[in-house]
Amino acid sequence: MPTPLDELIRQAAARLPAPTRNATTRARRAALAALDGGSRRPRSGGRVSLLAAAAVLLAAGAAAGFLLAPSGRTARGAPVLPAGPGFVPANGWNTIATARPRVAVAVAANVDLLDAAVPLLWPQRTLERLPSDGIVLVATLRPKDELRLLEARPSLPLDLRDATMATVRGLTRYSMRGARAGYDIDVDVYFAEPPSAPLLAEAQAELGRLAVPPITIFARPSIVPSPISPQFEPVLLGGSIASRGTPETVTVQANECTFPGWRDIVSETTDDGEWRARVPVATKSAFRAKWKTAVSATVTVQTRPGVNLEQLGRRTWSIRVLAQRSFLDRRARLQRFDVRTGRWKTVKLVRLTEKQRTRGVGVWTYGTARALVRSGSQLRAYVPRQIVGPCYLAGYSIIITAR
Amino acid sequence: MSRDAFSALGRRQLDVTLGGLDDLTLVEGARAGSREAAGELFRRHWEPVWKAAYALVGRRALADDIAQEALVRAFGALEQFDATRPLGPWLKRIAVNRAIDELRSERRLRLVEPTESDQAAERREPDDAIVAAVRGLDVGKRLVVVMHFWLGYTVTEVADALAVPAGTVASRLSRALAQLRADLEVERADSA
Repeated sequence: MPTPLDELIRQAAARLPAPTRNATTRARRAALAALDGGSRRPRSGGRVSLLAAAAVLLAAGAAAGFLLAPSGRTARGAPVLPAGPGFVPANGWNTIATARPRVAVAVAANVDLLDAAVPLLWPQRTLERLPSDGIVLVATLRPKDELRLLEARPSLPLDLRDATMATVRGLTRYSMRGARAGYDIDVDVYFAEPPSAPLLAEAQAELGRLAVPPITIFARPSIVPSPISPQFEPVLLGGSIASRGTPETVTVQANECTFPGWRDIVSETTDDGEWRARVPVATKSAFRAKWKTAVSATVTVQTRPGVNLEQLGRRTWSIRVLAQRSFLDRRARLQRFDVRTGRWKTVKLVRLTEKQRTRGVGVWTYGTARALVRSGSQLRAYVPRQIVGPCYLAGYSIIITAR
Repeated sequence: MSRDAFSALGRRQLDVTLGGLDDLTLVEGARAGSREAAGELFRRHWEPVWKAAYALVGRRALADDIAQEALVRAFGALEQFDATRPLGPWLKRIAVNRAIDELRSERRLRLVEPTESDQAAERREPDDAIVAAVRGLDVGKRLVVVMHFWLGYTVTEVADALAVPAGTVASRLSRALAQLRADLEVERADSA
């Protein structure tokens, strides 16, 4: 039973002071830089800025993982079908696509795609620099009736002659709506200026290459934090099938790093055409989903080893690495953050000389070393990809302060 | 139309559009590299996250750092965000964890002396009696009061976050409330 004092305290939360405009501007800049995967340290001017820099570095890793998302490019080989819906690129076209919970976006362009990842709303950089003969197609796909727009939609392929035309930010936009395989599909086709007949024909041809496979798959996250990270949790796999209503069985298959072939790992029943499964991932793995005879494309989930750094004595350091396999005789790095240069410097290579299997978790490989580091220095342990690959990405410990 | 005017027009239109989108859609946009979507997420969540950090640490400069780092971390790790959960509590949780780490390390490293500019900023704070009384509690008590009453944590959740037994949290809460009651009564008597 809350007392009057309890209530007074709760209400006082509304009277907390607000952040200053300077702090807000600074934080906004830093947060958006992290989104870009920038490696510059945000200028917070405070004690926690070292950790912020590490967060930015982690962000860069995450962004790199995102760029591994399915994409196709005819210039560098055969087209690659995306794990979800996407455009199959015609000769000279670039495409990128992603499948995510409740929404999938696919982009195709006859110019270089300047946006690093699939934009949801507006491929800004590409469109801002669209040349007069440029074409950009943006398809957004959501599970049918997600937007509660109870309207009749034509099936694929869509036809530009049915499109609504508008001028948006100086560009000519053709908008169409369609449906296929349990998705409501919105496609916008952008031209730099009112298109000529040949440009319209080229756009129509690519529009016809929008493929919606009968079963899709996504994985979240695509890079799993180390098993000793507080953020570690099973990966969420999911997708859609081209049948809503009646529950259907979807089987998820995995192909783990260095393990030959695919094996069934879990079967899930669909709910209104959507399926979800949580699976623990301990090493780099590829996943695909099967529904009847249809097989989805493949998504790959990458992992990091767990890395722990401990100061045992004034000059003694212990580094432990947790993974599914041992890294005996490999060399981890003890690194110090150099405030002057803003970079991590290796202080000592630490040979991992012992191992201990932990039931159900993996193997700890560990080693100790002596190194004199000035008290107050920020330190981390780092195992580069070269020594833990190909089944793991590089691993980092949390940052500790030397005593 | 100049390029600047062109951008400004687009921005206004975009703001109207983004304002109507839910967090999940904006997260998807931000994950996909949309700075507009990320900017809207920042606009919505920066102030609550900063207030959570300020309530816990009681100092503006440190709250600026912690809240900024929470947003930097979150935006850098949006790929790992579970889209089935609400975004706000996740962001606050990151800020809370950082604030706890920071307070712990301050106590260990004895870096508790605030700078002169910190002190000047604190002196300018509005003088709400209860906010000031909570800010005046020692760190252990302030953490449990803020987390329980202002951030909505249960006693068990506070215990988990602070890595102490639930009984310790309950007793700290009880002692903190007693002190707050006493402080506020003194304040009322002084102002009467």
